Amino acid sequence: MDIQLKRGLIEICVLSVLSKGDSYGYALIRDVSTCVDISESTLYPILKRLENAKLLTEYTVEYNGRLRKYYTITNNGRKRLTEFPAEWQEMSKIFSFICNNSKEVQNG
Amino acid sequence: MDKITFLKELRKKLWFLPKNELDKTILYYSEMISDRMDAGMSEEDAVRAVGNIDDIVDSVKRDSGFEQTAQNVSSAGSIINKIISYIGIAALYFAIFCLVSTAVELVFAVLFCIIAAIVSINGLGIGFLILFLGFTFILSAFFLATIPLCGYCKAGIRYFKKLIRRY
Repeated sequence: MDIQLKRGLIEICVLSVLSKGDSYGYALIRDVSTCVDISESTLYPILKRLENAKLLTEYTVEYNGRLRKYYTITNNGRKRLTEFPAEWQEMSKIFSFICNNSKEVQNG
Repeated sequence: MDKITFLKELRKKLWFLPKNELDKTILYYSEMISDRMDAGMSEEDAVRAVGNIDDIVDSVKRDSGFEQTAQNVSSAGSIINKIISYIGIAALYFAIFCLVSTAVELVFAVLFCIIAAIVSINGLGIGFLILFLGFTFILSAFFLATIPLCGYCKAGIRYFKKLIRRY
């Protein structure tokens, strides 16, 4: 899948996982991986962007004698999640527009 | 590859990141490897699972390009950084126009100008600029200053002599 398109969707996936409770990097990868393939190097910029956009905040917890970063969804993040279904309707409109056009091309 | 070697290598290849960004990135990958090991993977497997170093560097590069433009608009720190960069370039132009008299020196000055411009566009930070500026001034002192300054001094002395003669 196109990387830009995927990134935007993974952002929402991450927010949706966090809406159920705080989580950390590896757990996020495990949870999101159940629906879309994601690697450490894909997740990192996404987390950074979500943090810069103030959709999530982070805090550090000591675990097993080392530090682990946990992520919390913010109110803005929750708002973003609620906006998603409406955006998806718009997306599916674009999707059928693209499909119709490419069908016309195929049929000559 | 073991975890420490991996992180060292990664740190080396991400040299272009600002210090705090670099530390954050290394911490992230370190945590990821440790978590995979806690989940039962061997160190070797955990490092491999986190990914190829060059791929990570590529993704960071791709990303820091986006971030830079976003941050430049919002953060005051990077605006100051930009201003200092422009001052650096201005100083270099000043060096060219005031001191340069021969073609060789011009080539050197232009070269440093280009370097300074690239540095400021990439936003590699104040440290680099100070380094290049310092280097330029040393170089200009070495190559440029001697001849023209002698000229200015001679002209100045001549002017004073004229003044003295007049009185």
